[in-house]
Amino acid sequence: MLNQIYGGNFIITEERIEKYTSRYAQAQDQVQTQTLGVGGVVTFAGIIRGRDSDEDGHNLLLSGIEYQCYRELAQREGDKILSDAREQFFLIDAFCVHRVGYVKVGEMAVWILTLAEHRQAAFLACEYIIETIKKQLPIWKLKKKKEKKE
Amino acid sequence: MRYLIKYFAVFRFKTNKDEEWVDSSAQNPMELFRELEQRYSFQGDLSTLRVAVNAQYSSFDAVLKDGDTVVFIPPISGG
Repeated sequence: MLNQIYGGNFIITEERIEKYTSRYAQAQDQVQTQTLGVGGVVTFAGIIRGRDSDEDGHNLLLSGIEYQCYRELAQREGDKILSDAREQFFLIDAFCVHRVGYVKVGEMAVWILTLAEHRQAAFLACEYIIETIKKQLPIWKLKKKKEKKE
Repeated sequence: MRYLIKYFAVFRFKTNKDEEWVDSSAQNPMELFRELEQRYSFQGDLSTLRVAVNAQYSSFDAVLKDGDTVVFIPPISGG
């Protein structure tokens, strides 16, 4: 169902993620009519923070993050993570989109959507998906420091 | 044998290349990494690395075939 809306359950994109969140908002009625069993919907948005720290623990002000990705493997692993989550938590459906390239502070880097019969499965699956992404997806961050203004 | 090596993160920085074909006598990713380590002065703990062969996670002692694509994967940081 979500793959009909998005053309896949796991998407890697250079585009802003808002277009995916708004597409779900538009399709929400259709999703709920098609699947009368949906009782819990959970979303997670990972946002680029403007404040961070370097390897030595010093504070950093960021302008954004450059994400590098080994796309073929990331797509394969992303599909597998969602498929495992659907099976393990008896989800009705799940979707995830991950940005690559340069992502500015305040923009979304990742967005996850889980649909389940009950809220607990939707929450647990959403957490499982983001934690597994952080361990399995071949994606690397390069923090971009904010230029100091004179 | 010839292998296609794709570089990401620290390895791309060290080699200044996205990918390259390498002629090598290495039979497995471990031997291949040792060769590249010497060529490009890679530093780091092998225990923190993973390897992918033909876009699937693999092991450092897997047998490589001519034409395989090999990617050494430093610690990842998605999300």
